[in-house]
Amino acid sequence: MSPPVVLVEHDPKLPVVELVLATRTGSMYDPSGREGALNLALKTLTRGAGALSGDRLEEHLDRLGAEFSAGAEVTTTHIHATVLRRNLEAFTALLRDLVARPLFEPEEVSRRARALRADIVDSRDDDRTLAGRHFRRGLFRGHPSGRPVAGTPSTLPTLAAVDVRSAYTHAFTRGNVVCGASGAITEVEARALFGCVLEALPEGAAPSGALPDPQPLRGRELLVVDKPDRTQVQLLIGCLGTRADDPDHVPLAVGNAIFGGTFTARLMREVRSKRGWSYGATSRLYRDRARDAWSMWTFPAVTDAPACIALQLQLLERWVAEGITARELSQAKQFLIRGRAFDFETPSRRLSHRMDEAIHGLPEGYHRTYADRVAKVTVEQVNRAVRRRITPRDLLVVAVCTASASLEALKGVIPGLSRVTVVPFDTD
Amino acid sequence: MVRVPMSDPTERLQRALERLNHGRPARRRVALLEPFAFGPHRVEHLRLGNGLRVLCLVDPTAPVVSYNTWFRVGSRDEVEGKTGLAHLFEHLMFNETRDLPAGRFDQLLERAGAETNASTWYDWTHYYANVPRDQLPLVVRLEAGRMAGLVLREKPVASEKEVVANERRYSVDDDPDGTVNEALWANAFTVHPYHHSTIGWMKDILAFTVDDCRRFYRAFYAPDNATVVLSGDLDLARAVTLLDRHYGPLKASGVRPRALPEEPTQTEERALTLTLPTPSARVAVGYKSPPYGHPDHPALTVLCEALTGGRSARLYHRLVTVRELASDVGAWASTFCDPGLLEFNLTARDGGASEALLAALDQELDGLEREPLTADEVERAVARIELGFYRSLETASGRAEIAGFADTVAGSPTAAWERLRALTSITAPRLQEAARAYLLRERRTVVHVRPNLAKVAS
Repeated sequence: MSPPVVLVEHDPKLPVVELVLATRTGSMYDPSGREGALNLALKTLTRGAGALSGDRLEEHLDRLGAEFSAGAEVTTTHIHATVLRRNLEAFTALLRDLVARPLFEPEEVSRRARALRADIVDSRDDDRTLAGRHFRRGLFRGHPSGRPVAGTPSTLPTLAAVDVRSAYTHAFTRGNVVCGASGAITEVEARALFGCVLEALPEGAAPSGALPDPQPLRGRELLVVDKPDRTQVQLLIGCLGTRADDPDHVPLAVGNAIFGGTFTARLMREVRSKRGWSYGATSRLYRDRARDAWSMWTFPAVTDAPACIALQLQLLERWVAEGITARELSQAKQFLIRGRAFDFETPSRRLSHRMDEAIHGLPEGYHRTYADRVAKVTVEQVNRAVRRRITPRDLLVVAVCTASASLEALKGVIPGLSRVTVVPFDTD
Repeated sequence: MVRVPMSDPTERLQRALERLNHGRPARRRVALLEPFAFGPHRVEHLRLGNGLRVLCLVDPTAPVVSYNTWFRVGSRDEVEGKTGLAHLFEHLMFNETRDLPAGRFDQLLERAGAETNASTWYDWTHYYANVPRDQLPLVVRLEAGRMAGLVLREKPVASEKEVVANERRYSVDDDPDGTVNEALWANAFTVHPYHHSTIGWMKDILAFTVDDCRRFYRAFYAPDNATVVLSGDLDLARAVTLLDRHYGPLKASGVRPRALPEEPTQTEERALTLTLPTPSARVAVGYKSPPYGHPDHPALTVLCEALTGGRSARLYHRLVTVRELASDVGAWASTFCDPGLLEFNLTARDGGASEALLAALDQELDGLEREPLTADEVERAVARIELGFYRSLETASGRAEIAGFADTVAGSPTAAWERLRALTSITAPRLQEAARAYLLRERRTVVHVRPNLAKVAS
């Protein structure tokens, strides 16, 4: 068994300690029909562990001045705690119970499932969240990356304590956990603390965590999330992007900065600065172990939405067909390289990068050397990466809007539509 | 005033100032004033001849500088019919200046690797740029340039009005929380400008003229209405020399705080009901509360935290975890210069009604009399507040913001730490007194939200 991975960023300036435990697997292993099991397990941790009931445990956490959060992603999970340094010793015992001796009592699991279900219902008030949720489901149809990490209002009530315990035990084994500490804690202290937590976990290596790449879309699809009385259209338009280890990833990230990653990028300039059509106009390249997404986000008024979509598609096609200029590349490089100073400003940020490398299987020092790789990117590499990875003909357009007011106009400005779907905003 | 020991950099700063001020008339001199204590840090305090207040916090831990400008103007300074102007102006400040064509300001800062943004609220407008330390000269030049040299033209103003209208649609019109918050303050305040939200009414946003903007700029954007806060890896003497070079020639506007109408004492509860296309009922309750600088404010802050701040907080535990009436509860004592609101916001679960939420809230707040918050509950709340405060100081930007906010709203950066001391010494009986004094039904406003079920049914 290899020794546990413990990463430490010591800085005693503030009397605060941050502790992180992350796993290299996530909700991808939730069984079909049991979506949300691992996330529910993590959300139930504070509802009883060791000899403490949920109520006593939560009181104790607050008394120590501890922030505790836990949750799952598709390929990872995290347990994150921040505590006042003077209470670290008392917190260590609590953390050991939380991580290694959770009770998962049936009534507490059900209680938390009901709370998470209510959160999902409430989140339908946020149009951006709705757009994001439907975008991922549509883009990664049939792939683990498109499954609902937090479950759905239908799956959550069916999850039993046994599902939750099984999901947690599968993920939290000694060989699958990466530990990190930052702030007013030394490496010796951190190793002792995590040693004490990890020794109580079951043996077990990291599962493979390998994910196949999702299938790309074929053609352009419009998915309208129908919600009453909208004054705006929340728009997410995108396609697949790159894997984390794809040689195109860094050139594409640079290309994305030029297209929609900064305040002076093409998208922001054309949509917001020149026309005032949307408060935000940005694009983003995501990164995970499997090929993840690239998307652009705007939210124009209902009356401007058709023209805004048409403009965005034009900009996208031009970006792919004509590429970028040397001047744009120079500007983006300076922004990306100089801005790295902030990524290492605090112990917490430094730790976050090292944890990212460890749990996503990136080479050690990936973030420290990121600026060097950006510096070497050429115009040709960017243009090649954009052409290879961004697919203007195969796109998903998600629009959260009032269908009766917007659907026909939106259809009219997206050439080559192969599929149009309308779903009510309050479906699962 | 806390005495702070002199350091070598300060001695160098004094020598630099002697050189700088040599032979100058009094109105052009840079004054080094008594420094402020800011926890383990020392904040140098200077004033330029034109009234610009400068605060410098040196911390060489990381090679970055956070550059913040706080203007003492916000939506409190607007009049009916012109609401939202302070916020629109925050947007316009990223446009053309006498020295730079439109778009160049952002381009230069991006090239410098800067993180930059701004925010506006009732009492202030705050601009920041976080830059690698070697880019400080650029930021000083750009910030001074737009403080006095902004160029306002028809087309960009029209475009920015559209942007702000879209921001309003996003954060208020299509967002139930934004809609509720706007309604709560609009009904709680009848004559004080806290009546209107900072983003402004839509009809006002769309009606602004370039002349409105020019008048606003002349009145409020001037060195004597601003504080510049620098935090990070600074050479004090060089920084102050730069500030003097770029800001020193700017003219003061002579702006004076406007006398605002005093809100009459509320004598009866106000209530209204909104019907919105949302899946969940809500209730928002606002009790009249004191300004940020009032001695009772720390007690109300702890009260909010003890009731809703953590999972074991009383309201959260009872209404969310045990009774499962609410999916969320929150409380906040407004941090404004003038009296504001102590807000409670609750969202119902499983088709519950806002009336049931309000009844449950009332039961708990009325119950504070017979079941006061315990010393243990207060201790938990204070520990959480303390943790939050320290975390907010992690970055140069966070330190600059805390110092600048305390200075703008409470008169000195030291106030942030004095407040922490006040918060951590609050006792349970003190909370009880505060609850008794401010949780008065005749001084509250209630907004109910009823879901429009016909519209949200699948």
